[in-house]
Amino acid sequence: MIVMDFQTASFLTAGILIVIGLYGVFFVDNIIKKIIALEILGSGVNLTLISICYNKYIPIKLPNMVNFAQYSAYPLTQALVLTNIVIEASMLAIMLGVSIILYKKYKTLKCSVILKED
Amino acid sequence: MNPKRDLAITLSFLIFGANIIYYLMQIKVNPGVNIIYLKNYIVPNYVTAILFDWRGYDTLGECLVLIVAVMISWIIFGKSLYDNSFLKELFKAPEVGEYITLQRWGEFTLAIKYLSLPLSIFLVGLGIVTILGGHITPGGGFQGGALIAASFILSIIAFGSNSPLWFDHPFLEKLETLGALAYIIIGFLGMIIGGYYLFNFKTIFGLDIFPGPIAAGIIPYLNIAVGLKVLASLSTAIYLLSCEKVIIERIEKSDEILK
Amino acid sequence: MAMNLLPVIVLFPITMALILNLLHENEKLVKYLTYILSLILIFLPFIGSFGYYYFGGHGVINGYTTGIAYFYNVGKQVLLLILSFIVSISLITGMGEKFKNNMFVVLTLMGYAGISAIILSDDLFNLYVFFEIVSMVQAGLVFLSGTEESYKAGLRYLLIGVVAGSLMLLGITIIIAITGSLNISDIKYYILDSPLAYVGSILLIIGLAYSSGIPPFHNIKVDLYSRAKGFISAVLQTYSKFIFVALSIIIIKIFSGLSFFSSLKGILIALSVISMVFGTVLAILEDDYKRLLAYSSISHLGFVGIGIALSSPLAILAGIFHAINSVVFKSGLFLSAYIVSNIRGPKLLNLGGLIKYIPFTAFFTLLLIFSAVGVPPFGGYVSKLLLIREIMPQFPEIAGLMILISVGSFVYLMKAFYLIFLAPNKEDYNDIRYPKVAYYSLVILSLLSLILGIFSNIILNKLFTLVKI
Repeated sequence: MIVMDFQTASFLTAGILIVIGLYGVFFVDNIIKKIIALEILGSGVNLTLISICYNKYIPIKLPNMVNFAQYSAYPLTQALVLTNIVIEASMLAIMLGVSIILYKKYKTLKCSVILKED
Repeated sequence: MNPKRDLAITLSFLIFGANIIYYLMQIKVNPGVNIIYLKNYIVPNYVTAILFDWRGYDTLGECLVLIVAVMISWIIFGKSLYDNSFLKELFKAPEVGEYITLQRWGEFTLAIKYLSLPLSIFLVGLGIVTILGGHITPGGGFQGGALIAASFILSIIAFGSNSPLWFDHPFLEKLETLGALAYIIIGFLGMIIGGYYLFNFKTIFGLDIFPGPIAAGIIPYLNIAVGLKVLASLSTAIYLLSCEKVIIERIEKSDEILK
Repeated sequence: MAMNLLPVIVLFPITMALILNLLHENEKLVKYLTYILSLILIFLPFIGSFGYYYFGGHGVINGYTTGIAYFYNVGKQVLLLILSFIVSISLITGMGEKFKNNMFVVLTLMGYAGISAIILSDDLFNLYVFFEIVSMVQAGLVFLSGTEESYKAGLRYLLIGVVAGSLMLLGITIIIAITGSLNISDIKYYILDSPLAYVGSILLIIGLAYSSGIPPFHNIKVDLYSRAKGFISAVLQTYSKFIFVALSIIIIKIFSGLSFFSSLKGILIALSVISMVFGTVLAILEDDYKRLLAYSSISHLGFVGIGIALSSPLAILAGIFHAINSVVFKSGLFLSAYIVSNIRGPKLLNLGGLIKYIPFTAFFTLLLIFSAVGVPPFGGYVSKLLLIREIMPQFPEIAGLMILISVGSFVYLMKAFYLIFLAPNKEDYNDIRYPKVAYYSLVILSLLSLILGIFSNIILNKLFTLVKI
């Protein structure tokens, strides 16, 4: 049995999410599914960022403030994730808007139809 | 499709994916600058301290991303296009009857109506508390703004255009700009007082800038600015993506300008 | 304490954009405000003082830069000056349209702020945030055309953009994890030789390739350029080239001390050569004036890339100088495409004989073509000469290829010139109407291209500060 460190397992999950997202973007022929795949890809990257925050010493009860720096999870990448979530949401909103318009024109969500080069 | 091309894409995808997973598992984290963030106390919420103090400028960038996204959504649906013939062809006002808008989605049952109104009011309250307490408790401008926008969306879905909780879109547009401008101006105040943009000053002329047990300086004000902005942006985005009537009116308006 | 006004370079355009966003009903006000703004933009690069700038006053503690830092020097000032100049000219040209579009001004200003933040930034994550703003702005500027093709081009650009952006962020994440810092100067100090750093660098190069449009991302970029209005394409290609310069210098700065750097250099050079060859071959085959210029712009990016990838100071200098030159003459050519397609579409075969109607436009277009091909004394000649002289001792084959590519660019540009201005026209033009502002902008840009060639020494001296990595 492979015993895996919590952090490594977390990075593994993130990697799998990224690969699933990439698969969806390149191999699925539906614009909405592509956008969902992009969301999964983004979640994978966000999970990577979050996994960096992990600090080995997780106390059950609150430590006193003197040793806080030793016990606390690292805060930097948590803040970066908050920023990245908003960035992703904005990009996806624009893409959804354009897909609504192209759907109105072609009445289908297939990328091979609506994104065809003329 | 070309089978050879497919094979090449599949192979490169597999190699790339395997590499990503393999190397991600090799990461050994160097805490680096995190230790300094943890040892220097600013406000009880350390993530907020990074978001609005250590790296406050990133948060401004993030607000701008959201604003640009909303601007571009407006453009997509017909604001200020150089040529709107393509959109006009797609979005035609119905000749008879009314628009198929949120109003005409059909009536929900009474249970949903009775539940969603108190829930929306509760969400607005929770949002306001989250924004105001951003420097002490988990949460902050983004989360609170998103909560208020969610209550707006909930009430629109339940009641349609007769929603008791309603913002007009010109109002939302102004609110959004106001939020972002407030953030920028607070940053400039820091520049005048401390010499650096977004400098966190605790007192001005001997008065506490944020009266209270925790001297948070400008952080609560930045939280409020971001909250207003996020609430406005998210509501506008949802509004645009779901309301055809707004789009048709916008296209008619741009017709007048283009003539 | 003297106040350093460096952030105003980024924040002034943003503030004005936010205000202009509210003015969509008042076209007159938009017009005059834009004229004033484009004047102010040219003076913006001079208000900051040189050196490091720490946001919020969070400087270096225990060897780590804790806040977000900007770094400013004379070389960056020259880059920003050229950027302001082109953006101002495009803004003014845009006001020559019948519809004074406030959203065009808003998005262009946002893009200007984003690019100047990317140029100034000494912080990887801040750079990523503004990078995303710029890619959204580029799609938005194309949506402004309102045609079905523009919607498709924008959607395709954003779809790939989120993938490339996420992968670039993954690269930044790996770099944070192994160095524990986001500040570029710190990262250079703390980064160690490891396979992970190599993975990070490759992921950063994906972001670089996407944002500038070198292969395999050339198709979406060319679509973007050719679907937008001419003066908007001028701005778009300026953005791409300056992002390329800023990002590639950052990549070289971070990884130059590590053992795998030579293979990284190899990747960059290979990408640049591919984009040079692809751009030229596809441009020769093209029969649409705007697409031809777009492919040509990709091939010039290859020249810049080779110069920077060689990573000796003089080669980088030559690369950056070529970026500046190509931005100037390519903007001019896009404006001429704007004038021409206002008369009868951008398809080359429908045009012809225009020299009788617009002789001066033809003359100044010819000057810009000379600069693009590399005829002395234009700017393009100086930078190409410098580049080839730097590359010759290391890679004589590539130097030979570059001369061939220049000949190729002469072929396709002269083909376009012949088909537009000299060839016999099939139908008579009933009325020749085009915005006069575009013509004056074209004149200014071709003169600027000449000035860049004649006073190249002064500019090269100033740019040299950028190169000392």
